[in-house]
Amino acid sequence: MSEIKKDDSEAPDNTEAPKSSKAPNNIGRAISKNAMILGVFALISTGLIAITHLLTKDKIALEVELSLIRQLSQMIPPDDYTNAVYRDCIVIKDPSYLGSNEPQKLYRMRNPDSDYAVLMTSIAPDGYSGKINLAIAISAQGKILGVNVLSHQETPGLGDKIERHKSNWLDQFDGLSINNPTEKNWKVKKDGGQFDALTGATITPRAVIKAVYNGLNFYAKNSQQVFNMPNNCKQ
Amino acid sequence: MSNELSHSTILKNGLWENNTALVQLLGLCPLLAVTGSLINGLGLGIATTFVLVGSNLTVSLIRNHIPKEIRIPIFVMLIASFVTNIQLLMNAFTYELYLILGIFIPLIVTNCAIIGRAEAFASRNTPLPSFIDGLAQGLGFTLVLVVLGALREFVGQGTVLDGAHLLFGDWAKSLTMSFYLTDQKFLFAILPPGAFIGLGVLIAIKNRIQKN
Repeated sequence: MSEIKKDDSEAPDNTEAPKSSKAPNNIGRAISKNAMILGVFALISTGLIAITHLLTKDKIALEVELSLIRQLSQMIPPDDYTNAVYRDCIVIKDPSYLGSNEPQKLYRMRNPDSDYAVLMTSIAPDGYSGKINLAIAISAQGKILGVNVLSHQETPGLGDKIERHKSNWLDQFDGLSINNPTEKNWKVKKDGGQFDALTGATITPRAVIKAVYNGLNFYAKNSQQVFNMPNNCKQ
Repeated sequence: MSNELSHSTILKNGLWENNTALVQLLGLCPLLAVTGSLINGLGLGIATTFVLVGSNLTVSLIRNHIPKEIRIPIFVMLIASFVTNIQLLMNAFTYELYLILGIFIPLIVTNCAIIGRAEAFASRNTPLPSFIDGLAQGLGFTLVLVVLGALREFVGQGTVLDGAHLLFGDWAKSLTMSFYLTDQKFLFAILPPGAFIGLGVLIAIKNRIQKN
């Protein structure tokens, strides 16, 4: 450190020759010193993020779960079923219908003599800026009771109108099922389907519509098993 | 340098004389993207102010310990880790607010005003003035976001403060003012061209006031 400094201060007075003979050594030293400092800062900043991540991980998971439960009561009146839905849950995984390899959750709502509905999480992998996490409520007969967006990164002011409190776009799905409408109508109007797009955003609605349709397909394929599987969500 | 600027000068600079958005023209990407409504503008403004204050303070504290040659990458790392930490903490402890502001937080990284202040002010001043500078610049930025958001919201869909309950809770629903009702929104104001023209108008007004 001191040597580098000394050299700098002397530089203007010195002739070129002695400086250039010393330079490579000093440059090397300066580079390695700066690299060290950068490395230390990189370690500190990533370390801080890692610590924050570890400290907040469980709390975030809990908040996500709580929010899902709050949203469920908006989609299906709690009086319509009798079981404790939050403890009646299975883990599902199906990359071709649920948008990713990540395990998703499926909550089951029942009445004493019949199965009532399911609430499943799913991912629309092809949003405008990344994944869109969805919650889809489907009745035991395969009708959509409600769709909600759990989290997304769509453009503020355009794609984020899929959020329920910003517009009623999601209401279009209510009451639909896998054959109503037929497959070719599960698209935005622009692509020949029956769904409204959003002003200035077509990719976002496309992604959501596809994911909801895939979710219905998953349920149609597995509707027998999902109500009979034993609980296996970690609580 | 820190002795030359009084705190009130720093405040005045940030809010008016050297306003981030109207004079320095920094941070235009998030500014133009989210000012479709007053509340969106306010949300981004709050989040940005938060990060600005934090990054200015941190940079000022470590300014004597970092070599000049590599200060920029260090600032970038600091700001990025700051933003990520804030995002995680908000996600964990203010989940409802995070759902609303969450999408704005990654946008803050694209705001060159933050590294601009770190470089131009915080790296040359002691922590207290840097803190005040961050606050002033952040508030100045927020002010422009709010005015531009209100302008575009008013012209575009005839309301002001639509969606206030997202930020302030349900009581704020009554704050929404509806001036005229329309089925057909005036898209020009809501989409990006309206943002450019709105900002141009604001800059013109500011220059006019300053001339007199």
